[in-house]
Amino acid sequence: MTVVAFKSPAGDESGFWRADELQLLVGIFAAHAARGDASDWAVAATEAGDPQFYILGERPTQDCVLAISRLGRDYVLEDGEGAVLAENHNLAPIADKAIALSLSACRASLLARIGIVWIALRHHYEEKIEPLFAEPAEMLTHVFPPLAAFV
Amino acid sequence: MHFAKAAPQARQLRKEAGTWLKAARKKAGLSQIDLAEKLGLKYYTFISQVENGFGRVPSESMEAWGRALGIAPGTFARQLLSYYDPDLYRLLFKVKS
Repeated sequence: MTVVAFKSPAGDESGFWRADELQLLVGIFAAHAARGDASDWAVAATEAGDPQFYILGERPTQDCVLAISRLGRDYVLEDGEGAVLAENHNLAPIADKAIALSLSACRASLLARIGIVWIALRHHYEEKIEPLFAEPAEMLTHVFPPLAAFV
Repeated sequence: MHFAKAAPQARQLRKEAGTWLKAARKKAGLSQIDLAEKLGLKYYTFISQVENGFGRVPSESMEAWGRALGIAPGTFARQLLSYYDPDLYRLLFKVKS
């Protein structure tokens, strides 16, 4: 898959949100905060200097539930797990879509937690527990060689 | 109150996870664009979201992230668990029964 990378034209305001953009973005946050499913917002940038606006979910974890990025002249709306929800040359339709979304950060966070525990436990089992089951059979054949035929 | 203390700590640990991920990506010699390509993502913005400490690596793509960064998936997941859920990590791997 080819990743869409953008080269910002020289002299533009890459890395920063303009005041009009920020007003729309904070409006998205305010809509979700009023519904009780957003607690804060933050801005940052990609390695290439593309500005990003994050809407953070409920406390205590405050995971990102929506992210809006400006790549070149395009805007991208993603959820907290990297799924692309909308792309547009204009921010206004992205804002409309973002406001209309119902956020289920808690459920996503819980599912992520269950998944990570499962992977970690499986790794722990393979690394620590499995060898313990393999060892007794091996020891038995050393201590009682006649039993080797039965193992 | 527990929640009031937990919120900044969770954010701080997620930031530390992002810093660790960024270092691992750089060690693997990958840009955010390279990593996004290896993970089959259309944009590299999610890599930035996670590295900036606002998002988490979804559990279903942890194996792919680990492999893309040259880290065993189990080791990768375990390391992330230490940031994302330190109490659970401690109970699972540090506390002797």
